[in-house]
Amino acid sequence: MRRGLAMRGLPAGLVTALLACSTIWAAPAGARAADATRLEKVAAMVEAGRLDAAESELRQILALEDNPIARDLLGVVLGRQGRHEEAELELRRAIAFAPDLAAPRQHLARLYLIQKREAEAAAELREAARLGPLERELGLRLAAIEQAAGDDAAAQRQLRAVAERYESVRALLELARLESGRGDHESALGSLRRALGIAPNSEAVLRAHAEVSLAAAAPIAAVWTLEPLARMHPERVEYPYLLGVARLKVGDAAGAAETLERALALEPRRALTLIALGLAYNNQKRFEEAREHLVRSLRLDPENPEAMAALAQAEEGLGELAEAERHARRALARNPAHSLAHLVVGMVRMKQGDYAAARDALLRSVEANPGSVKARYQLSLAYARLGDGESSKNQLALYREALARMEEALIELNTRTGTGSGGMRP
Amino acid sequence: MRSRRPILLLVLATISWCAVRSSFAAAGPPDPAARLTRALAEAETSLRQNEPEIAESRYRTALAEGWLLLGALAAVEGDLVEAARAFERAAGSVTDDRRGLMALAMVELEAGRAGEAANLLRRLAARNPADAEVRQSLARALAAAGSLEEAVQELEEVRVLAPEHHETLYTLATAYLRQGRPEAAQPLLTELAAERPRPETHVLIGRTWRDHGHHERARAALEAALELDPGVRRAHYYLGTVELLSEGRGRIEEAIGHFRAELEVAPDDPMTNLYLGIGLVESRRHEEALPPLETASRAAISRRDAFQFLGRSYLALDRPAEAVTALRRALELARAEAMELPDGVFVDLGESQLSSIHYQLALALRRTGKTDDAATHFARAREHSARLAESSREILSRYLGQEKPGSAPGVLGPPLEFPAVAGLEPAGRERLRRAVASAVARTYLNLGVFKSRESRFAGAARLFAAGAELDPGFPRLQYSLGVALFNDGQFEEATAPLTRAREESPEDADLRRMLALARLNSEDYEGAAELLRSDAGRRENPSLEYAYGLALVRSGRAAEAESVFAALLAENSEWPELNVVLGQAYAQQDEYEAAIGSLRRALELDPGVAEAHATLGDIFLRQGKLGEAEASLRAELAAHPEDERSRYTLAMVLDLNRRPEEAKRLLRQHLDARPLSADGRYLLGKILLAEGAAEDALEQLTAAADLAPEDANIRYQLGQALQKLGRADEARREFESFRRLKQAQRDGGAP
Repeated sequence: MRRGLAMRGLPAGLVTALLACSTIWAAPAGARAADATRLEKVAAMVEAGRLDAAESELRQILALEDNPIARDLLGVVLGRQGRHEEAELELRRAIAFAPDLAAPRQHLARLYLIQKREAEAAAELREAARLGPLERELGLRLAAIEQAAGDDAAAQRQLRAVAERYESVRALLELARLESGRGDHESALGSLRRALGIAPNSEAVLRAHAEVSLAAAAPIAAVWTLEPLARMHPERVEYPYLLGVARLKVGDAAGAAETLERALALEPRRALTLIALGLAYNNQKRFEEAREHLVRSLRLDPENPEAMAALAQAEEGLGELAEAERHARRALARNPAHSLAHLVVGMVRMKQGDYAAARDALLRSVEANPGSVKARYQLSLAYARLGDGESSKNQLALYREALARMEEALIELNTRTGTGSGGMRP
Repeated sequence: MRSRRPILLLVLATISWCAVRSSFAAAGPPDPAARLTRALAEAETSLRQNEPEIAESRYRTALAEGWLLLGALAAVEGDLVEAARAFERAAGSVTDDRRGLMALAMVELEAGRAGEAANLLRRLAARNPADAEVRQSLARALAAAGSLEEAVQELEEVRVLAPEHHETLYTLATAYLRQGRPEAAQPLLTELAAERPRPETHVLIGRTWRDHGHHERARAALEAALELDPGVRRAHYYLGTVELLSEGRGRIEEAIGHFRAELEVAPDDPMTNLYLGIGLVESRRHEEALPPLETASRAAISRRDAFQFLGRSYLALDRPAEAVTALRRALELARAEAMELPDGVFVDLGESQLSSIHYQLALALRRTGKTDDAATHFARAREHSARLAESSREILSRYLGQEKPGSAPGVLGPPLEFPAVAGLEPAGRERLRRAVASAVARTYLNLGVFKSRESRFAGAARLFAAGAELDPGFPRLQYSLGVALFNDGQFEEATAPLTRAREESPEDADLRRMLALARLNSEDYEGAAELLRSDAGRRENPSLEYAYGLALVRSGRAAEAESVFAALLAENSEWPELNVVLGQAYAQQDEYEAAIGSLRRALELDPGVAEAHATLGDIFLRQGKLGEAEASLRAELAAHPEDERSRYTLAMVLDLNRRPEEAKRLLRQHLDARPLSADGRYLLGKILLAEGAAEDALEQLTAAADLAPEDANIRYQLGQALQKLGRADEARREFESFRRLKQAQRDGGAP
């Protein structure tokens, strides 16, 4: 859908801008002042939709003396009357008269866009942008043109200019999308924080912030925007689901389970929610409930390695070692680098007293996920059982580091969301 | 029902922190809906600037502001349930839910659910420990929940964290007073007076001392207020009550003097008139007591007590008939204002007060010669209490207790304040309520339109429904709700709003048709046929004609339907979709030749018409012409790659043609797109089982059985898989299920 490109009227402040540019028009000072007043009146006529009267007045002005602002206005008037060829002619004359005047070029570009003459519009917009800031819509359009032409840097420049000049959330969202697309999550989050400052309740902005935060492995930042999204849009299953996943990533299993249960109530047959809920229950050692949900998820999506590995973890927790290993192996058959599946195999081997095999499995687990608190801890135990005190100590230190990071993240999460024990206590 | 009296007293008759605060604010009454109006204006500006995200954000701000106002109006009216609901909605409308939750917590506190209030406030305090306002409110909730120590600790921390927050001084001082620590309270109140050196501050301090029984300190503070401004409101009033509460008969004369001085500033103030009247009655100056009591009897806040004392004065003045009238009115009002005690027992406002009214009334009736009536009231007086009269001080203590902000057990300071709307008259409040409800309904409509544009019809319907709940007659709201529900496939739910929308626009032909289609889809065939029968544009619109024919068939009017279909075909033989539908109808009746003819005709007319190749594929499959079936299904998928049914059928054809690898590939694609396809899982499981991959097959077949538990074929294959895996007992159970389902099918009782 083309947005707001019809030549309906003069954008706010256009006349002022046009008149401000009149220094380049070499006419006597007295004449300028008189014509400026007259042109302001014409602009008011255009605003009021009195196009015929405006045209007549402009032609009178031009009969006395040529000037680019009057020609530009006449171009706008003719454009609004649907007389596109005449409009183009007048706008071109205005440009020829005053090549450094940005406004006629913007109006000409607008005219071309209406006529679907994209290449000519792009050329005029680029030139107009070189001369000064573009109107909001045209700036956004030029950004889209640059992006389509593969020049992301030019697109971003234009989007920044629009965002700066108009506090445009559309520009900021598009800018964040481009920044995130090239992997620059930090800049994208910066753009989105600005957008949130302007439109704090916009679903699109909140969602974009949550998505970029998750992509940037910043689950706490994601929770910060997913929490209001889930509250404000209670009919949408993806928000409590993502909120649950983000909480799980921070290590808040209880909070995750509560949120995921809400997601499940909205859509009971969603495999992804069931898997995440299974993982949340596993982390709370609620293995029976975890198994129940994971079995249900596998019925919906029988080949999902995440579900298999999580089910294996639940079974290991319930002491069903053979089943646990069987499911872990099936998960590894589908994803040989599955950290959780290796962890389960390692834990099964630990229970079976095969510490060397446990160590190998656990090493593969931490290789796939160096931040795994459980794998680090189990690995320290395996090394200890094997008599390798030094490695055990190292792993224990890494475990403590990972645990401290998780605890810090949890405290930050609780503070941000108000789920902590209260602000009045030290 | 809980008495509203304390709230009203708080709002109307006492000086609270709000009054102090607002007295510092700029002059002129603020517009209660200013924030709402501003948010709506900003939203509309953003729409004009083509910034839909900003517009949505501002509309949501408007929702929150609107609900906050509606909640405040409900709270001031004493409807705490509605207030809580409104505040919850306010909190659910915007990212920053602080104001909504704060207001909700205050309502919970007022409703006696201090624990819930404290929980809400703890959450807010945890988010921002420096939020002095939240933590002060938390302290109030804690005190109300019986944790005065914790409340004091909270306030002491707030004082350190936010020393500029002078309200803390007041709340903490009140908490100390509740703990019986006036020496701890004194410096805080002195500091408060120094920080806010205004007469109103001294009045507040004086009242606080009075409320906690420190009459000398109260007197000093109130006199300080009068020194700063002899005309300050309420200073004389509180001094009067202090005198009445103090020991000694001479105090009553002092009190009378103060009340008279207060009336110089506010002649119509009902409570001052009431207390003046009571003081005069106590001094046995009954004639003088009549004018102030009559003034007090005209205000809702004071009329019950004013009538009681008027009755006593008339009796003392030997005007028994007027005494009877006044006391009967007092009795009536006392009964009407019955209150529920926290333990759930209903009793009247006070045993001793009620017995006193009955007793006085009995005396008055006896004087008028109505001895029987008198005897009844003497007996009622004895029933209620052995005591037949309260002392004036007891009466005054009771009244003053009602007006104290800390009158609820443990509450620190005024718990429920909505200054923006509390000052409005009932009619003004109602006008505001209607205007806000309408503005909020309009906002829901606009937000719903945003969602509709994104084709998120369920969300749109939720928003439209919220608006319609507030203002059912708002233009286009019922229409939008009906359309959103229709587009979301909630046809049955759509019929009610669409019917209401038709009442709004009976001439709207599109609306009528949508309603007809909603009825058709919700199996109200007669209703659909009725609407379409008289549709003038039906004959020009084959889809409508088709829908009409269908409605006729389904509502048992086959003869009429036949003529509709015949005319439809006669006039639309070039309509490819109609030929497809006809082909499908022939195929359903096993008239394959006619079906193939219609379908080929459809393809001649439009080679890309949907479902023509697919239906041909089905027919060829049924005829065992696997090669032709495969070609047809591939043609359908080439034209319509999203047609998952054709993909599945093609997989079936390939399996029958012994090309399992390609069949499995297609089935996996199909299951990626349709993970809940029981047919897809079944066929994949069956192929895997045939290849010997029993474990993989078991997974697929278990999932299929879960999706379609009544499908006998799935049970059979599942039994086979289990048997191959050596799980004989489970396999036997599946075979039994298979036999049972097959038998039920044969009996016609199963799908």
